Amino acid sequence: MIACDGPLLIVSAYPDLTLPQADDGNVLVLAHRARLRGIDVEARTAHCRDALPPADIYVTGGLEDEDQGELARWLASSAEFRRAVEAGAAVLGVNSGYQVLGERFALPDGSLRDGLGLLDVRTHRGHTWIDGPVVTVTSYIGNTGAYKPFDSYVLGGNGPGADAIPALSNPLLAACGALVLLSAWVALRRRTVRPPRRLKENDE
Amino acid sequence: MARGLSRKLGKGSGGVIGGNVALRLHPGVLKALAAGREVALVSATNGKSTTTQFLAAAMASKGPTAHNRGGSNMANGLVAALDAAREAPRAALEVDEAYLGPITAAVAPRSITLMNLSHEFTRGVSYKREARHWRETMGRLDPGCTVVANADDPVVAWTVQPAPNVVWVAGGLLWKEDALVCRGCLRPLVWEADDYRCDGCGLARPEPTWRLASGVIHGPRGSVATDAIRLPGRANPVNALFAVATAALYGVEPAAAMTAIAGIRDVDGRYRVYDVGGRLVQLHMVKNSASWSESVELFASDRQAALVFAVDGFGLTGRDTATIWDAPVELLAGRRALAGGERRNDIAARLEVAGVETVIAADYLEAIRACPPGPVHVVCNYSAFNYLKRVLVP
Repeated sequence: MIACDGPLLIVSAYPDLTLPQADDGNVLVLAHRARLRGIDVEARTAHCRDALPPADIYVTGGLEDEDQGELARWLASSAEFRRAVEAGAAVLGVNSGYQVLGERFALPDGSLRDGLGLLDVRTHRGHTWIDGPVVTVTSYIGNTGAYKPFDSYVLGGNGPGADAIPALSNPLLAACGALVLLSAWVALRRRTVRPPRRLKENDE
Repeated sequence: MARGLSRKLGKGSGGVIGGNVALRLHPGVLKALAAGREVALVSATNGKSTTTQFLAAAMASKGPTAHNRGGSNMANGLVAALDAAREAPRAALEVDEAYLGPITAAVAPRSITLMNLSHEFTRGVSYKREARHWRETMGRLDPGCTVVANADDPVVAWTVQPAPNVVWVAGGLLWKEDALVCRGCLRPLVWEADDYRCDGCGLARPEPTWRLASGVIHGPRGSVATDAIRLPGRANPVNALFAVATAALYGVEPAAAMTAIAGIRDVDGRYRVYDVGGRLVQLHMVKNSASWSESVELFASDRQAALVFAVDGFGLTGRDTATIWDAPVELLAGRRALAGGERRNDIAARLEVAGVETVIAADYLEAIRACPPGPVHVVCNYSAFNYLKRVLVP
């Protein structure tokens, strides 16, 4: 078990600016599994009138939609978020949440917006819907006009024959225990491991 | 003929197939069938079938009323319903949210009742686009059309702004999470208890003329109690509120409307009680966060009943069990439940996180049979609901 001072802080960031796709379920799963391991948890939700509180893990995003530009704006306006991320907080960005962390993303009408630039990623709108199990942690592809689900985790599928495995639209963490561990590990690392010494130019 | 053939082939009641053939042969058939009649349209994400059935019963107290019973709520279903009641001078028709515009243009309704608009993941269209569609439709209404709209849902209130005549109803808000941001200017709404306003565009909760307080419907034409309603849950008095307010436009007094509503025992199999070896089984069809929440709250208030979750793995609501994560399942913490159907493990995971002890059954019929005699609530997705409705005997 990982030692940890104070409760693990989990914040759901601005779910009112995405299409809810059960992404708050990620918070529920994280909190449940942490508690099973004896880790104290405090989970909060920040709506878009609220300043983002400090956290060990931020969960943000949901189906890509027209409010995504506002999601980027609210996240970008939070000094606390940037500070926490630079200090090593974990961010679980699902779909729109992942896209806005990058440099550029597209709104459903095709217009391009600046993201937070935390990831070296530019997302664009595709023209096809990817079927079958999905392996990479990536984004969502909308077809012109219609919203189509394409989540991004290992144990999901939407295509033919995918009925026996969890639907892609389930919360990411309910279907993929490995990601729960990864999120928790990233978040707790900074509490238990000394940050690596920053190399100075004249360091010998 | 197509209708009879469809019935014989066992492909449903035949309404939609007949309507499909008619629309193929004559695209203007809906307009022709609606001409000269007083048509009441009802649309919403949640509650439109029940409310339309309430409204049709209330309007029928004044004479024959066409009604798309069975919930076929696109053009083909409306054609079938109007065709089946050619002599009826009035119609109460539920309309799919995304088809409100073209159907309004075709039938030139006397009234449109708009109850709520929230996210339904399995639909191809987001509720935000539907909201824009409703608003455009409201801007093109005939001056003689009256909109009966929910003042408590800011998404609905925004869509109705351009309408010429509005009767506001305090219909409550089932699912507030989709109504935190102003659809007009994307600013966060300021909520104070059930009151809301937008500091950007000035959208504010309109003063309602119809409301529900302590189980009594109050309107400009007097008050009527809702305790005679036989369908369970807190949504049904609200559905009755919309039906009574709309029926008043057609000269139906609230007391007469309520008498008609009290005669309804089930809505296309929903709420009906089936006896399975002494187990009194009631089916609850859930499809989105709002209806999951509604059902979970009903079960939380009924601690005597056994709970069964019957969720199939096919069809849109089977592929997507995500919405159960948005529902306040924690209200059921400490209870026991049974889960059946291909999605039983997904459901069990959600129930475990909520602190509900879950037994996984081989299938949902077995789950029902494993319950002790007495009341049993069965939560079903769409396909499980249709299956159970066929195999269980009332």
